[in-house]
Amino acid sequence: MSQLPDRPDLDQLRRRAKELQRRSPEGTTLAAAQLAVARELGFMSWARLREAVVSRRAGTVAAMSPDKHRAASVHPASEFLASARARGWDPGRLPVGAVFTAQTFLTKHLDTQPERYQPSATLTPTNGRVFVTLDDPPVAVACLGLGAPAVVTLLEHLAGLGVRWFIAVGPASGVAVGLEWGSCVVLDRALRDDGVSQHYAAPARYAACDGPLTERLCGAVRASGIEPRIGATWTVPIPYRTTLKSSTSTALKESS
Amino acid sequence: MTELTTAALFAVATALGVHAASAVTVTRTLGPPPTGSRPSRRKGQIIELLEAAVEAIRAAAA
Repeated sequence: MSQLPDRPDLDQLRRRAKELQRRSPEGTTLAAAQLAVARELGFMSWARLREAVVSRRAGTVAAMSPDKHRAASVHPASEFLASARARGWDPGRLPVGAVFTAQTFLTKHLDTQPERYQPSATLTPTNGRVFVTLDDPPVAVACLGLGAPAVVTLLEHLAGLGVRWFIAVGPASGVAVGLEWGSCVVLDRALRDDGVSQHYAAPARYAACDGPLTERLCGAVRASGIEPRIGATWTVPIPYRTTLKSSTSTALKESS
Repeated sequence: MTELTTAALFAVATALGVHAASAVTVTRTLGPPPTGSRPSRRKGQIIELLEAAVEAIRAAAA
């Protein structure tokens, strides 16, 4: 059985059906030829095939739309924050920055450090646990669910409140030969296979870190006794579908 | 290596005019899984990264 290509062409499929009809015994209808083409591609009917073509092309166009990031949102974060304030929400004392994490053991660790970290029930009007350091200047540590949408949503809220410094820490999966278990890598760029960044930035292969903040982070990591590598990452939207097929070989070579 | 947030974090921070950085610890590699005391070491290292991130933000904001 053949497969529908990544960028299918409905006109080409129509021509293929007509050609099949022309080569078939006299009396074969175009509908029968179209059904044969659909079945060859794994679809129950020509209508299902046509729907799949339209859907796939629409998705391709949306994902590659070079101006998406320029368009104004119809529901920006500022509107959400204003609405929450109107309902009585007050974020309380604001941190200067925030660290994003997603590991449950970090949440437990913070819970066992009441002399250093205090849970904040007010800093974000959304789900997730947020702690704030008791020492000044206050820094928030956000313990969120997995993935970029959770991080980006809170980042939008905090940036809307005036918070300016953000760092993510967490685990990564090695896919390159030579990358050892336990290696610490401070990331200077990220391959944009994430499904979120195109909503905020023009198409490009990489998203880049903030240089000065990354330098500070490298210094702080070294001061803790860990010698970090500096390198690239390959940001993926989901944790369990990384493959080693040829379509991803470039990303494999480029990531750390 | 792969992870789930950094490209979005960098792109969104740039778009919003704020500052972002990221650090990871490799917890899975190709080949056989680690044995012995490695899981606790991994946790310890990520906690160290968390504390380093807090200090880096304080230094940057000062």
